[in-house]
Amino acid sequence: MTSDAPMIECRNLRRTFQRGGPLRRGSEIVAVSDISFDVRPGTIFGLLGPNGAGKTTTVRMLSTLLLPTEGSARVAGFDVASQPREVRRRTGLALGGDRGLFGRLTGEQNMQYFGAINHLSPREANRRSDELLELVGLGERRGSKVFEYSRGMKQRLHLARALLTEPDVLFLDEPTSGLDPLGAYEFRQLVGELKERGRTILLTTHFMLEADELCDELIVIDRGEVVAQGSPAAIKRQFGSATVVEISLREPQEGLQASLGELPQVQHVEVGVDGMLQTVRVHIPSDQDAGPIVAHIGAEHVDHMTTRTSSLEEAYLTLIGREQ
Amino acid sequence: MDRVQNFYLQAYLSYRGLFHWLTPFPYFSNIVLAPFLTLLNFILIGRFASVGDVDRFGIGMVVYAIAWIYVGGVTQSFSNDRSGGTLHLLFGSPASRASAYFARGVGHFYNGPLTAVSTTLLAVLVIDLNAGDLNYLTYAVAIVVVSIGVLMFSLLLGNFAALYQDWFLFLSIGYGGLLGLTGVIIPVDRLPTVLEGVAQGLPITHGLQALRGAFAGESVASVSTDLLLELAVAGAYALVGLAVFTLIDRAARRRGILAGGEE
Repeated sequence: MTSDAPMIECRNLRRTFQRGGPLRRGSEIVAVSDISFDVRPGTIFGLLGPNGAGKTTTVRMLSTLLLPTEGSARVAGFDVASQPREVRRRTGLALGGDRGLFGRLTGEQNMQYFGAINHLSPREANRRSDELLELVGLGERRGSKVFEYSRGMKQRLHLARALLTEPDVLFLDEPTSGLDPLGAYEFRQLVGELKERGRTILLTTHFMLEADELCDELIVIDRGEVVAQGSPAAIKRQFGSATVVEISLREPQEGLQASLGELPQVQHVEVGVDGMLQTVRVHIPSDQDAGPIVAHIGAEHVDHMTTRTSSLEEAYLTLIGREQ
Repeated sequence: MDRVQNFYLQAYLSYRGLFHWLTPFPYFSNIVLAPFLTLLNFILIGRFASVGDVDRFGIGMVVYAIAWIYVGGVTQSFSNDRSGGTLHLLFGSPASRASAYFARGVGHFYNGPLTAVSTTLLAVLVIDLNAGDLNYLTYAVAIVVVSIGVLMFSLLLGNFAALYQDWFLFLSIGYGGLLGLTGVIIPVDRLPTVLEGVAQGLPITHGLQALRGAFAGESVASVSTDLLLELAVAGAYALVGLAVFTLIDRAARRRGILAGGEE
């Protein structure tokens, strides 16, 4: 594998599941319809999409837990279908949630177990376990049973476990799902550090902030298909409303949502309340000016106004909304 | 050397992590209390029904105690491995499947001889099981050999507990089959012909004959045929069980059966 070759290459991946058992075949469920992408070495690549979009199924195929029904994928230069052992030696998988750990064992014992099944010598497994538990901030709790850990601690243990074999590629499947804001922030910091150390990371998430902050590139998938691909900035430019005008009014005005919505340059209007003030958020194309909107409301009614470029979340909602 | 160490490490940690009867009361109940109460039941029923040789129930229950702890313990370990998502990760690792499979049984091994010995002691002390002629070496060898056979059988059942969420069904099949067909209560030669044939392929059947020989004072050499047959049955279960485990691994990749909810 050359240094500039993609660390992950997916070509037309498709995965279907059959309902029913071996004796009674039911209908076919398409979890992933047609997904293609490349991930460059040393980058964080995001799979973004709503629940049921096919993110986890894609990660399971890339981490060799599932065979693709059609298409092909190579990870670290090896085919996931025909060379699973080679892929497994070079990848680490961290799942979100409570599953995948032994609750009745300590954090350290969990690491020893996973070291053993990954053919690390006990001495090497202990050395790496010490380092990684310190890295993820569990050094002092290594001797506690995992069922006593908080959700955030379990997520960090998942990450340490996934790093045990010093993998070239790390799969993180919804790693901050269910974490409190501080736990999620700390986890993102950790993932950022791993990227600095040269790891290639594939991250699935439905948190826009996470994708925006961490990912060099991402794809948005919905119903098993890629609906957008590029850097977060490019996706925001391409699919976001480009400019969001936020206005606070001195006194409430009735019918504003409908009347603003009739202006030709307005794409979307949201009217809400912020304390005593009525707030209006208007999405307009980036080449348009906010002047006509202020004129429509009446400058004398405007308490204050801000404009900003649209967030990834807004681009995402546009995309998913468009698909639906 | 690392492979051997890793095998035992995996055996020890999977046992500690997946066997939920390890807390004091469940452990004491399943190692000592439950086998003894079952033994007591059959002895009392035998005496009440004026069955001539109730000692045969006592000796049968000594080996059935082994089945009690292994079938329940190993199947629950596999089921917990699946439901906890750790089996899924095992299949996604480069781990040796043979090593992982047998490691899931090795941690349980000492429970078999332990419960057999405690049941024997209680049977001798409380219900006057006649151990006057006991050949201790033959007894020890027979207990170890039966333990190996039942453990391999339990590992095979464990596969099905990993595959299907309603694993209690397999527990019942294991308990019922071994109690009814292996000579624990009813002599094998009194079973209908078909079932007698089935009994020859079950663990305990041959080992129990060796154990009865031990209580009659026979040497290891004189019961060696039974011991070898019991080991042959154990070997067959080991091979079939490993093959099924490997098939589950492949089916998990092909059909996503262990994913626990697909996205």
